Parts: sequence; structure tokens; C-alpha cells
Amino acid sequence: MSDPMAQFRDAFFEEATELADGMEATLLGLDLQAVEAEDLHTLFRAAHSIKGNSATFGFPAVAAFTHKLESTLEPVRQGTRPMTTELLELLLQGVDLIRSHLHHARRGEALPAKEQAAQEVLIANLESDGAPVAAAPVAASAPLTATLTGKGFAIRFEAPKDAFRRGINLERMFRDLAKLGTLQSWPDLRTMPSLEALDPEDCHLAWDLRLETARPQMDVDEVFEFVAEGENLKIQALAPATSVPRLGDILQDEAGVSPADIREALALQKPLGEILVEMGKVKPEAVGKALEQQQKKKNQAEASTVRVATEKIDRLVNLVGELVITQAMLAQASQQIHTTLGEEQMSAALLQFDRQTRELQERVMGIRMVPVEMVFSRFPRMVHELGKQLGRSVELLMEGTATELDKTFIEMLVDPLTHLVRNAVDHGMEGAEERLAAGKPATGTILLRAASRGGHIHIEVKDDGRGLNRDRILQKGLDKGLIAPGTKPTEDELNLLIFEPGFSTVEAVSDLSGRGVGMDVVRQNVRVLGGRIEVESTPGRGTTIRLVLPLTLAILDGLTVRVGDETYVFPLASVLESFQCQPEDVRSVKGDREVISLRGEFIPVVRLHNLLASAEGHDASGRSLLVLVESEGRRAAMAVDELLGQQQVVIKSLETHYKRVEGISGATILGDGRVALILDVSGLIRLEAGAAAVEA
Amino acid sequence: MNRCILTVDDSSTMRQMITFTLKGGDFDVLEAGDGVEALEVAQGKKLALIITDVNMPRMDGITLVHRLRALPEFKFTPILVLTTESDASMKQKGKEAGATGWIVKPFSPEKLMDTVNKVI
Repeated sequence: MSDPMAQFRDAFFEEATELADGMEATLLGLDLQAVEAEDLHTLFRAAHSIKGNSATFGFPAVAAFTHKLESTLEPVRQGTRPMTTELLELLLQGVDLIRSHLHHARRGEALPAKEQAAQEVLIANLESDGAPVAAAPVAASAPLTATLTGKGFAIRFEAPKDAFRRGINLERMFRDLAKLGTLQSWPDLRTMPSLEALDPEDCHLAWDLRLETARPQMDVDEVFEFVAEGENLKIQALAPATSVPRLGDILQDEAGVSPADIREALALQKPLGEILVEMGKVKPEAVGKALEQQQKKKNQAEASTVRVATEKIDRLVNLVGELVITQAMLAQASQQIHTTLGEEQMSAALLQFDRQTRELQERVMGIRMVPVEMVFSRFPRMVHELGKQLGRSVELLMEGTATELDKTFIEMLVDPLTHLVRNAVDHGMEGAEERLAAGKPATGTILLRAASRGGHIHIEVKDDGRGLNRDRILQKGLDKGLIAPGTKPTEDELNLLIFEPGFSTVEAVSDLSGRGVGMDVVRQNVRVLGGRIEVESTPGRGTTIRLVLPLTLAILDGLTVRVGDETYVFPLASVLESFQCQPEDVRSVKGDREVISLRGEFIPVVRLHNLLASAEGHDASGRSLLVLVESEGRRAAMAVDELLGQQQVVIKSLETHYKRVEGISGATILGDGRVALILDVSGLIRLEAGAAAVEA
Repeated sequence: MNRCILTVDDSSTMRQMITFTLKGGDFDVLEAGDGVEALEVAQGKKLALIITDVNMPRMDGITLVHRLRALPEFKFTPILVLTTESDASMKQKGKEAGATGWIVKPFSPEKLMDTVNKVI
């Protein structure tokens, strides 16, 4: 039987993460000149809830840490400790640590030693009320990483300082522990002060204990009931007996090395990446990238759940209820279909049925939709930090945060938007003096806006900075060979050039904008989602970058075409234009390869009826109707027989019913019930290129 | 071995229950109705443990713990306070005053014996 708590843990993590996000938002929204009491209460309540819940769900480390935050906030909310800029920063760090705690707890890991140390410094700072405390040595605070063979617990226990004065019988505790199973103990005397400084009534003892037992942790907790103060007690389950014991564990058992020594040694160990860098085998950036990739994979595995508003589910349940009634009506009507009444009932029921199925479809799609706020919410903090780092005063405004987007989109938009916002602060914004000189307010404004417009979602990152320097872009484009010499690109073309791979007008990639993804990745992610990018920029006034996305991945704006007797669908996002051409416009090169010259550019012509083997019904007169498409930076002119129209189609996966077919991304059912295949433009271009290579 | 326990509670029912249970565990039991009486009773005695309620007339349990800890002969004697579930802060107050531990009310005789055995 699985752990009954497990099913609630996901919900716990989601809720705790939301609470942490809420704390951050509240902290960033605080006006230190006039702090709202309600905000302080909100902060306190959030910390309190995380603490309580994490204790309930078995994450004592999270509980212990949030308890510290809670106790810090208590006097603040009572008005006996002022909210200062320093405290605000400390609390923001605290929020980060909560997130980190949750992140590791979710994977069943202990908090890494580095963060553990950071946490201790933070706690000391929070308690010291301002005066910064130096970082404690990592070794002393590292969690007990040495787990042992056998079932049971590895325990780190630091006796409370007042243990003697409270009449606590430590010996008794150890005897009680030993009653639970086999107990081994290693006293740790490092915390003992020198003789002169020693108050004999203070307790300075600490132990690393190993208890082999089949008893639940509750029984162990019970022993420590009166002495556990959160931080001073860490209980970890031992690794299962089947796994190979770690070297440290064996040394501990056989050679009398104490857990504290092992911790210290482990802290000296360096991560693989760091060693490889020192050996000169790999560049630090490569390690960073690899780690990022690993992280991404981890995150992808995680984000497979979606939180749905109860209201949405209620509506679905109601709809299904209505459908059942309609079904009953239909059944009844079908019994008396030969009567006029029956016929009337039947058509009424069918009408109702039609409305309900449509609504059901809409609402089920709606489940995948989450508010764009989920991505936006991270930016106030980011802009705050960036502004601080760059010494720029930047204000972030957000509009349309309730606009809903497909969950997949949300995940794929995180990186591009992060990059765009970073870019806006880093490159788009001028310094305060330059702004004042230009007659603009010293504080720059970045507007993040989401809106639903005619079947598309628009997400804008708008700044009131210096605008794009098109002369420089032109020069750079020429230098990099992105613009053919002699051509005169339009303003729009120049604006979009910043998204070309290999284009970057900044000489030295800064720590800020250089991290993560480049502008070309922004474009690529947006394209994968079937969207496009628009850029508007006025020198001296600012830049707006707009991501235009389809409402959902499950529906596609398509151009339906006829090839032979078959109907195919092009994703509208990859269609540039379509035009008629005469046989003489198409030239043959290298045998039967064909190209067409379009405004000075040679574009390969792809005869779809050949490639897709739909020759039947193909108009062989030689006149061609070409659809110019572009994908992943490559263009091709696809020859089709007829343009049927533009329509939204529901994407069905081909793989679930048949198998993967190169050049086809899926299928859809047309209004007349026939199946049409959706073309994968980049796949087709590859296919054609492959065929050419084989023949050549 | 010293097997004498002082129980302090203004409710005689409660005192009787505790006394009865502890006597069953082969302890000698002394009783007091509040903090002031407890200090009088404890004077000059060698006690293994003191169990005290918190809310009592004349002198409450927390004050009693403070006063006992100030006396050399009770400086290290185990003291348990009886608290109610809703009163989590009382545990903290008890700890700060120097109490060894606590028993959450309501409790069963078994729980009482377990806790007593934990601290003696």
C-alpha cells in the first residue's frame, strides 16, 4: 500500500509554492514609507501556513526554516520591529530559500550544503536585526549525508543549551532510543567552548546517531519531544538495505570515522563539472549549459500536473449531467419517432445535444488553460533584482494577467519572456541621466501585457527606453552576412533581424542577458508554438516586442489546399504567400530539381503530388499554384492544385492511431467528415532535400 | 532511589487521577492545590519529579516553575506542565520558564506513565 500522504503531497507543494510566490509579491509591493498592516499579516499568515503544512506532510526542515521566518515576522506585524530595506532583502532571500527547500524536498533530497550554510547565515541575520553575519563554514552545518545500511534513521541531535537547567535527562533519552533498536552514537564535541568560556550549566553536547530499527519515525520523534527545537534535530531515513553501502558508511562502521568527519570530508569534495573545468577539459559555460539542460529535464518531468479551478470542474460535471438528460430525451423521442410529437422532441433534443457537445468541447479545452499570471508573476522580482544590479530605476507594470493560455505555452514561454524582459532592462533602458536629458522620467517603465485578440493571444513586452538602433542593426546584419549586400531591408525586416541566430549587437555578452537563451531561441520557441513575433520600435521612445500566439496547441489556423484528390492543411503560421506561376517561371537545375526565382532569390519548388504520391486527379497542365512556406529559416515553394480556404482545424495525433510519418504533423477531420493531413513544413523540406541528395 | 513525585493542580479530581496512576507505578505522591501550596509542600523534600497544572489560583504553574528553578534544590529537578491542546504557546512558555516537558490534556493514565518514565 502506498503512503496515504503521498497523494496530498503534490497539492502541498503546489500550495506552498503559491504561498511563497504570494509572499514575494507582497514583499515587492511593500511601500516602506507606509507599510500596510494587512500586508504584514498576509506575510505572517503565509509563513505560518507553509510551516504548519510542511510539518504535517513530513518536511521538518522546511517547517523549521519557515518557523524562523514566522518568528521574524511576528514582531514586525506587532509593530515592535520596523520593516527596513535590509529586512526586506533578507525576507526575499528567505522566500528563495523556501522555494529551494520545497524544490529539494519534492525530490526527497536534503538541502544542499551551500544553501544550508546560506540559510544559517540568513537566520543569523534575521535574528541579529541588521548587522550582517559572516558565512559559517559549510562543514559544520552540512546535513547528515552519510546514510547507512539497514532500516532505520540517521539522527543529528544538538542538545538545547538549557537542557540541564530544564532538568532534562539526556541519558534517559538515549536509553529510550536504544530500546527502539540498535543504537550507535558519535559525540560531536566541536561545539564545546574553551574552558574559560564554559558555563557548566549550559549544555554544549551534540551527537550523530545511527538507529537501526523497524519502528516508525514517530517513535523516534517521541523520544526527542521535549528537546526538539527544529534546527537542532535532523532525522533522516537510512538507505534501504538492498543498496550498496557508501564508503563513508563502511569507514564509519569499521574504522571508527565519525559522521562529522565524513561530512567535513564530503564538503571538500568538488562537483564533477568544477574538476573538469580545472583540468581544462571543458569550459565553465559548457558545464553551466549541461546543468541547465539537466535541470530542464527534471522540471519537465515535474510539471505534468495542472491545477484547475473547482468552478471549471463543477461546470463540466453539470454539463455531463445535462448530457445524460439529453440522452434520455433522445432515447424517449426515438421510441415515438413516427409521431409528430416524437419528431419535434427529437429535433429539440438534437439541438440541445449539439449545443452541449460544443460547450463540452470548449470547456474541456478550457481545463488546459491557465492564467498568464503564472509566467508573469516571476518578473517583478527579476526586474527588481536587475534594476538593483544595474543601478537603474525600472518599474514593471502588468496588464491582462488573467488572460488564459494553454499550459504547454506557459511552460515554453518562460524562457523567451525572461530573455525579453532581461533584454529590455539591460539593453533597452537608458541610465537615469540619459533619460532625464531626453525629457523622460528617470524611472523607466516596462509593460508586460497579455490580451486575447481575434483567436490569438498577444503577449507584449513594451519598454520606454532608447528603441532599436536600426543603423547599427543594418551594419551588423551586413557584417554577419545576414543581409545580402545591395538590398534595402525595410524597418520591419531590420527589427526582426535581432531574432536571427548569430545576431547580437552587444559586444560583450553580459552576465544578465547572456544567460539562458538567445533571441533566436525566443523566435524558435514562439514558432514551435505556432506563433510569430512582431516588433515595433521608435528611436528614443521605446520598443514593443509582441508575441502572437494561437489560443491553444490543440487548434491550428490552417490553409487547406487540394493536391490531386486529397485535401491537406498547411499551418498558416508558416505560409508566407501564394501565387500563380507559368511553366516558364520554373527552371530546372541538376536534372529534375526545380527552382523559381522570386525577387532575386532562388527558391526550391516542391511538387507535393510527387512527394505525397497524390497524383490521381492532379492537374498536369503545367500551370502551377505555388504556396511559399518558411520553417526553421528555410523557404520552399510548394506546388498545389487548388487553394480551398483558411480555417481552424482541431489537431489529432497521427501517431496514436497509425504511426509517425515524415512530413506530416497530424491529421484533422474536415466539416464533411473526411480526414485531411496536416503538413509539417520543415519535415517536407527535409524530405525533399533528402530525395535530392539520393538522386544526386 | 528517590520515588517521590509532587502533583500540583487546583482540581481535586485531576489530582486524584494523577495520584492514583502514579501510586500504581510504585511512586510516593505529594499533592498541592496551587503554586503557593506547592512551594510550601516541596520545602525540604527530595523530589524526583514535579507535575503542575498551568491555570491555578494564587500562583500559576509557569510562575511556580520559575520559582522552583530559583531554588538550589530544585534547579535540575524534572518538571512537567499540564497544558491544553489549544495552547501551543504554553509549551514554549513552560520551556522558557525551565520546565522539562509537558503533557497535553486530556491524557490517559498510560500516557502519563510514559511521559513520567521519559523524564525520570
